[in-house]
Amino acid sequence: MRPVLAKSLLGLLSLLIGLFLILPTLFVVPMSFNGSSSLGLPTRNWTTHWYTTVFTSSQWGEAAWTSVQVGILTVLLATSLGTLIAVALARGTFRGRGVLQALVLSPMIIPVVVVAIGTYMNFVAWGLTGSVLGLALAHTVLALPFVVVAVSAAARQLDQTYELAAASLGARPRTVFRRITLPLLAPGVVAGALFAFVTSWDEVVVALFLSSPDVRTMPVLMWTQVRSQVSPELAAVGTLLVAVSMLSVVGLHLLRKDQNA
Amino acid sequence: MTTAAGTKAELEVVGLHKQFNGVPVVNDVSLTLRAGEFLTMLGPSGSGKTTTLRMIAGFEHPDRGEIRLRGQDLTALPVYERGIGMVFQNYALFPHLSALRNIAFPLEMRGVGRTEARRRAMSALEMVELGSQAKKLPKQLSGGQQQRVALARAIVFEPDILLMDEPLGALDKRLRETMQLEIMRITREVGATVVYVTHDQEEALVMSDRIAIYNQGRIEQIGTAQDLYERPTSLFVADFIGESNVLTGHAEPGNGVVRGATWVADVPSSATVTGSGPVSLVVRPEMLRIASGAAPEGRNRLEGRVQEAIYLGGVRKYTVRVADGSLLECRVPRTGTESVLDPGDEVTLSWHPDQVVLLPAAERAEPAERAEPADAGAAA
Repeated sequence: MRPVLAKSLLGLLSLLIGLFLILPTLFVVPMSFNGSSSLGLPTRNWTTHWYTTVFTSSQWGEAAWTSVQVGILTVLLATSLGTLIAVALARGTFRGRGVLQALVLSPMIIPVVVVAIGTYMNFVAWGLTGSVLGLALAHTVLALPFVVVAVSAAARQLDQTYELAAASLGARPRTVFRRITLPLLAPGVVAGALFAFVTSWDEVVVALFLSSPDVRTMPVLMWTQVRSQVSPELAAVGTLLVAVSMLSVVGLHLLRKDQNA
Repeated sequence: MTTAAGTKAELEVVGLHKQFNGVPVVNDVSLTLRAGEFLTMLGPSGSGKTTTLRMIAGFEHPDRGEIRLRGQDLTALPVYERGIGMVFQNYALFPHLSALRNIAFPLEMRGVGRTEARRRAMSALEMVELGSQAKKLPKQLSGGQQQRVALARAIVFEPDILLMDEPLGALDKRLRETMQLEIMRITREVGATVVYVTHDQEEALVMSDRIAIYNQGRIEQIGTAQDLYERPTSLFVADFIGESNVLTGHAEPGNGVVRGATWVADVPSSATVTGSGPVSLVVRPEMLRIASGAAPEGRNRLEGRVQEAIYLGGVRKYTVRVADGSLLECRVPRTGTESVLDPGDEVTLSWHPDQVVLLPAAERAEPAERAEPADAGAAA
């Protein structure tokens, strides 16, 4: 009986921790269906009205489009750069390898607000503030470590014999990379790309500094709205943001499962 | 350059040296292959055979020495320009490509058109009797099938040399025996010159034209299976190929005998050992005659007592403890008329002086068990 008791206690504890982690997020879902026009849990009337306003509003539409552009550009930049860096770190035996690794991973440790201020000062000088490119460049810095970690894990597991075999069959180094290394690293690369997208999609601190009234991402617009008019519209946007992030995570999970199968 | 056989040398390895972290793993290795020859490098793990192979392939760069293919120096040539086929121990089939596309890969690398590459890959696949498995991914094939695909991939572009690194190591014994014959058939069919690495002496004996015995980074002896078995030039080779009984004694050149503690033997006519001094007499178990009872005084014989008698079907194996306390092994083929002995029987072992090998009694070299980076890496 003892082990059963211990097991159910462990289960209960895990459930509580899980709820603690996810409840604040899930809270916005019922709030987004609130019939009254203040931000709160719905009491009597449920409505999808706020979703309609979000989807028809040009303001939210523009912000969403900006977020998507920034996200995709970040994915392209961070994934290609991060993959090359990860392979170099996993395979290379060059001088300064440790320094490169520390540099690439540093955005994970450095406070985001510090990165934001530094980026802002420079981007003002270079005229990159208030542009999709500027936002994407800044997000690439934040997303890079995730890509590098994901691809490095795949690269370390990759048996080097495949590359030797390809070389012995007449493939030049670049062809080996394109035809053998990259396809075999694909699961890691896709995971890294999803991480990069989610990083950019949710990012608010750096984006606040770099946004302009014309070019701002969804989280930035949310932040602005929270400070001026608190309406369930925000909860609807929040729900949509969470949904997109969760889809990415589910995609990642399916990818892993597929790989293990 | 010509080999002893007089045909043109296909592959020449001259004075190859390689160290890993200051430890010599290949130490002055030289060998020459004729076109179409099947050479096996045999030795304990860590003896440098795989490293030699990897240097021929171009995966490792020798510290010193030269590798020549038809007279052309390969040493400075990158792997992808050497045109050498390689079969890996773990097959190294590209997991994301079908069997057919794996085989077509080296052809595509050589600029062969897609349809032509597929056609030639298909005929290579048929050669290894896997024509029906063309579309399967490597993980959908059995170990033996994967090995066949790897072989087809390594020969489809008609390389000058085919290197094989313990290609059957991961297969079970029965499949290994089938694949040995299969590899021999296919490599002969395409006339490939093969360098084969194994630590399985039976495999080496079955497959090779010649065998190079490796020990601690050097080639101890190179020759046909018969050379190595019947005329070993060192105790290491005598010990490594087949089983052998080693008797140690002193040569007395004046009398033409070797004298041990309890025996006297004639110096075999083939002996190259001259001068007096400690020597070893190597007698193969099947060359020892065994008879019950004590023998009259004489040369080339030993008295002892049967310690163990094992029936092995075709042969009976006797372990005999002789007067000086050492154990000798003796194999008697089943003829129907052979005498059957039991443990405890008193026996006399004897041999014909020309069926033993006399070697200088160098201190017995133990097989290297030291881990070698390249070998260890390839095995992992």
